[in-house]
Amino acid sequence: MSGPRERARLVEALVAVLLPGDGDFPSGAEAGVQGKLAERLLETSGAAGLERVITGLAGLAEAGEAGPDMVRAFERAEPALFGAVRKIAYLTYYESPFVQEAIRALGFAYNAAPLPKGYGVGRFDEATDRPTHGRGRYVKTNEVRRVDLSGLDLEELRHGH
Amino acid sequence: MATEAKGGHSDVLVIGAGATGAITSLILAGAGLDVVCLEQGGWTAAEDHPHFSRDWEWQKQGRWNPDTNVRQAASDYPVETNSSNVLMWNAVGGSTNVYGALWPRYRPSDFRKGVEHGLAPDWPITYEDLADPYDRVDRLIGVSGLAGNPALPPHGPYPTGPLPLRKSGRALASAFDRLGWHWWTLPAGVIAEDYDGRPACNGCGACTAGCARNSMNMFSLSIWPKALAAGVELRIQAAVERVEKGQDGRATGAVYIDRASGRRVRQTADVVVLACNGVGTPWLLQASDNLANSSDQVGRNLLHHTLTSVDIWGEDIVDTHMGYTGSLISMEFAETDTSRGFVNGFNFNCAATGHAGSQSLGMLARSPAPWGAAHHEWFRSRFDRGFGVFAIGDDLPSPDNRITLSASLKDELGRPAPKLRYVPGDNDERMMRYQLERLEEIAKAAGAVDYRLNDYKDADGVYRTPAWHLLGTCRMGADPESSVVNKWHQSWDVPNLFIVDGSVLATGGVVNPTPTVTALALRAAEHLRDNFAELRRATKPLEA
Repeated sequence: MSGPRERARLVEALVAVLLPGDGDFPSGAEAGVQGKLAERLLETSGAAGLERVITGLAGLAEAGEAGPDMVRAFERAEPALFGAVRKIAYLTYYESPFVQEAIRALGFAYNAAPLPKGYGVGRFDEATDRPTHGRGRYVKTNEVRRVDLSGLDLEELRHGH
Repeated sequence: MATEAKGGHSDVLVIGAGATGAITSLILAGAGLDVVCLEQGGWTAAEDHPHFSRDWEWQKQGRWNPDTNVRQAASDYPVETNSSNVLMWNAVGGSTNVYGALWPRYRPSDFRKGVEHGLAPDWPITYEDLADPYDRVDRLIGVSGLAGNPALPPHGPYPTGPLPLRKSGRALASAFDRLGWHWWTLPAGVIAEDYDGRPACNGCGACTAGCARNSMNMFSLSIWPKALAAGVELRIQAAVERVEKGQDGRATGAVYIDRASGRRVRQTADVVVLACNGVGTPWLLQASDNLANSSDQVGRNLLHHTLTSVDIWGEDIVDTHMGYTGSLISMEFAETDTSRGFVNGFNFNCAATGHAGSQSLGMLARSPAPWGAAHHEWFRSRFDRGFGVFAIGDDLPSPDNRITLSASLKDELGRPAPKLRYVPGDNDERMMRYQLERLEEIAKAAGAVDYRLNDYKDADGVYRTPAWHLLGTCRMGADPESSVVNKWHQSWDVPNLFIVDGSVLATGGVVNPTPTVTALALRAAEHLRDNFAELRRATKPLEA
């Protein structure tokens, strides 16, 4: 069908529909999700998967306000493939330094990667966190007794086990 | 394949360098025995873990995926399966490279299901036989926790104090208090204080990809260096084709393919120890001319645990993306109560985990955030306000849930792949329905603004368990007709063959099994060490 430039624009339009951005959050397209989306979709679903996305969403780049309806129709037609696209889009989006900056702007401590820094989660607080409810029991080895199975209509009992 | 080379002879040949292979090798080499350990994978270095990369959550979908069939690394073997996600890691340290290190113990009744209801066997040992190994393996591993749990027999203090309960744990504890249910801090193979030369957990929140700091016990980084220092000869990239048996019925060693050179090598030994997990061990035995299987129990009785979950979102920020994945455990429903409509019990684990990407995909229940205009508002109202709760229960062993050899699928070395069949039984299904009802109660008691249950059934109703646990397929027992090994892990059929991995568990208990599997391995290795002179010449099991 279309050439590489049009195909790239279609994937860019797709991520803009999936993640349109608002407030401090950039759109998926602004965050550059489209490049990795194509790359990772090729990796996980192969060239055929990417082609099905491009074919199934042909015209999306020019669809304007009809874009979300087109994507919804594609989601209904290809639920598994759409699920793969969404997973890649979300994971790629939240890797973006600009998106992580937006998360931090909400007041969260959020590192670019889990290590090396980690998070200060404090220590166990004996005063407030030690259970004091006194609940809990166990059956000692020599106190385990046969339970009454007569009320259980289990398949395992009917057919032997 | 090239011609066969002689690999030498050792006192002990251990096959598999995961948790139980590591402990066995360490104990035996520490006693001065000549130990060779074969591992089909390689090393996983600390810096190989994805924790230092901003795309770590994506890496967990592929090269760090715990499912061998998804990951398809060169060291993996494929598993033909009707339903299960086959979670294992083939490398030095085994699946502990990607486990959660939840460290709760079994309970006395877990060993007595034969007496209790007869739908599962008694173990040939009791909780009391394992109490001391539990304590000692805790010290070897480095376990954090709080002693005094009234739902367990008394035991000594954990090597380090408990990890912080955190906001998600406190929210769940409050919910359990409202319901009047038991809860306790979760013991973890993650150190809360510096211990044994390892740094305390720094709460990075990426436990599901292992631990690049070794704060969570990575056997490759903690136990294996000690085993190597004790003199173990570890041969990596060694894919075992078969265990061999002599005319006298004793194991003579194994033939493996050196994956680096392509050479086939024969290693002989006085004693052979299998530590290949609940899929790999029965697979290898069946591929070895159905070795040690006069009982026809090799590969049968596969246990995964029953598993359901709920994702709970509240109004308050609970810092989901920080800290260790678990925080507390509830054993309220751990014992059998037939008025519930089934036998056996289950426990709850709190699981707060995942950074922004994982949270947007819906955490445990896989209920993703909406796409489009609503996405960002969803994120603002949900991010770090959710946590998950797993219900994990004791599934009944069934001879039809089993590992066999695939008739059609082979691994890249040409070995027939294992075929896994698992379908939960009636009792298991009833338990999982009951679990879901209780999970819903927890969500309501926690004041959830939203919650999503997950029964792990697909659109066709097939239970596709994400089960980590591969247990029961070479179970221990008191007689050779219904079990594969005796209480000392010794094959009934092949007296110098021992099995030390999770396949020996007779029942699954209601908790994550690694503490029990490793305590069993420690006990078995010490027995082998203490009786080696006799066992290396044994022509029949020394003791039932």
